[in-house]
Amino acid sequence: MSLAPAVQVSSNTGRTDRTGAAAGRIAAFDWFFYVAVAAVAATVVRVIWFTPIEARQGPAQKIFYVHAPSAFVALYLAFALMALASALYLWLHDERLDRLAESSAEVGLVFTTAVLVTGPIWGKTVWGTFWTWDARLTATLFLWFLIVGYLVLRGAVDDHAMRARYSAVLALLSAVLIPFIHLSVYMFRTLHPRPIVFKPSEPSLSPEMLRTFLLALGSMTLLFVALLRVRYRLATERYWIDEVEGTA
Amino acid sequence: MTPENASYFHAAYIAAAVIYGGYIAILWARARALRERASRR
Repeated sequence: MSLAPAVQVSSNTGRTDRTGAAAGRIAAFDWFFYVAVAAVAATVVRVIWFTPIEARQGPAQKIFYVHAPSAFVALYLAFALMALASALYLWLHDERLDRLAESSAEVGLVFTTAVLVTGPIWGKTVWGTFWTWDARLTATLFLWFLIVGYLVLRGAVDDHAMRARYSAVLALLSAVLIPFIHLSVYMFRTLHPRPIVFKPSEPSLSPEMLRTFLLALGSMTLLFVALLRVRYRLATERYWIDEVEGTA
Repeated sequence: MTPENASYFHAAYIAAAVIYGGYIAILWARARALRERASRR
């Protein structure tokens, strides 16, 4: 994955040639983004017309193909990358890592929002209620609020270095919830089911359903990378326009 | 007997499309605003 900004980076501090930003060359959406959107569209077609309906749960079980991949991408890719980039920022003080952490957090928040909206709709059909305060649901909602707080904090601090340092610490503290959310279904008696694909024994899905799930996981991962690339480019361009205008 | 709950399935996918599509629209608007800022200089 290339996270190269549209302007040329000249040192490990993220300093670039200001003429790059001045040229106004902001090509946020590229071919990779359109490939990712096409992959997601193909997945939805497969889910609707080429995946069998689960006998006990009915058509609502197909919510699984958007809910679980979104959760996987948010927790294990987006927020893990946010935490890794934040830790590396505290060590190396490279502004590109700060922008990567911010971009990953924001895109991860979108995926988590999708999880928190589609999950209750599915839950209503199998549990009879949209929401229950069980460990996994509550911890995921708490993480969502923490990431919102992280983004609000970034908007509230003007100083670049201070904003990056404070938000990196908050990102690392938020990431502590990731293993807790993962293990919550084993540690507590919850309504939320345990993993049915990524577990030590064989996946509890028919081969057709498993293929659809893996396709959905792949396409949502592509979508995450595509959105991350767009968001990172915009963060880089904004940084340099602010620098040129003297507002950074 | 298989329950008839396709409306929940449709609602979830429409909600997901609104969330992801809405974010893409926000990114597009941000890119446009940045382009205008860059061109004003």
